[in-house]
Amino acid sequence: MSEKTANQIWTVLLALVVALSASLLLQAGLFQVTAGMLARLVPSIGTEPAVFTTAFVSCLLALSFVTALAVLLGQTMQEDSDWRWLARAAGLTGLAVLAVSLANRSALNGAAWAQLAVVLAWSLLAFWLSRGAPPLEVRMPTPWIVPTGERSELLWMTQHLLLLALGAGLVAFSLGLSNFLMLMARIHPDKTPDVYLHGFKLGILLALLLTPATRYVRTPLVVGFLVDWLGGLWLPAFAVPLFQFGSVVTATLLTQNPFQTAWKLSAGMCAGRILGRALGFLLVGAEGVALMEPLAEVTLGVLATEPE
Amino acid sequence: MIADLIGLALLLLLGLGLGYRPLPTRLGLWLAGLARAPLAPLMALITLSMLLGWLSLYQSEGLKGLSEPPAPRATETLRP
Repeated sequence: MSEKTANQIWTVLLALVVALSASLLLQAGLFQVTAGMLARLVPSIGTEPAVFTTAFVSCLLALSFVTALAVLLGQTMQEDSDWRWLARAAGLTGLAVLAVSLANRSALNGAAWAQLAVVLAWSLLAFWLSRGAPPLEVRMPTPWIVPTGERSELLWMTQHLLLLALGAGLVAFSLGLSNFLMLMARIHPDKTPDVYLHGFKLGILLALLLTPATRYVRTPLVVGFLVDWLGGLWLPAFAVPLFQFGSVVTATLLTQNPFQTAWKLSAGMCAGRILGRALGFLLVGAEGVALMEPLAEVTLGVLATEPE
Repeated sequence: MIADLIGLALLLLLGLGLGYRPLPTRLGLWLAGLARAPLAPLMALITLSMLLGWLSLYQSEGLKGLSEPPAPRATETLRP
């Protein structure tokens, strides 16, 4: 494997770790901000205006985070990966995790203290690796300008999968937590983690529909993803994989060379699910498994069906 | 997970039978290339910290902590 490919693989994985960990930190922050705002505003301006104001502020916070992430990823996830600013962001994320954990230090046990020591070590290593980084040239991403070349398209797709998933997920999270969904649709704020996951998957669906890297297998990929996401809501659990298999094969019949595409897409998506769960487990922790799985499933599905 | 592994194994066997090459050639060289990249030690430390996180979860929750999603946080809601 060339040095460039190795750098690209680690850059994508580090970007996922930074983005998902920072998003989890932001959720804890949003929780504090919205709960505090709601408690303060209700007595003075009434329940409904308080809910709308809280929802607006937390959505703005979520979208600002995704915009900052878009600038960072637009700078680093390119054909010639420059991961040094990403390493700085990783260092900062590590220090934030450390600060939040130390603020709740009464809940820490022996292994958690050991974990914090390692977190401190990798934060410092990240800053050390990024030494001598050139100034960040802040450049807003232009979603309508797609880079040329298969590798660039794949990187572009991964970047947009992550950004759209986090954007939709965090907006859904803000609306749930600020009681907006409770007011509009009687969805209790306790359901906010589920609402976040649905938003996350909606963002992935948008990226599948909008990015050019999926063009050869868009229909079967979207059908397979939809069944995986929503099948469990209206089918018994055992029937979901069967229905997914049948619907992916049916949709693949619409593509050129259907049998080969069906085999490669199924193998890629299946391997992606396993790899995504393993990477989520090893790189993001307890909440990473559910987040990394759909991202890896889609990316490997597309990678496996790239024309040779 | 087990169902995924069985499904993947069957698909790979089918692919091998049809003459496709589902696995990258020279897997060892791939892994060596990844290990030599400058970000590899950072990612190894992140993995180690996550494994300690799982160990901490096991210490506090037992097997339940490893097999079930984390308990939802209490959230503020509207007054009835």
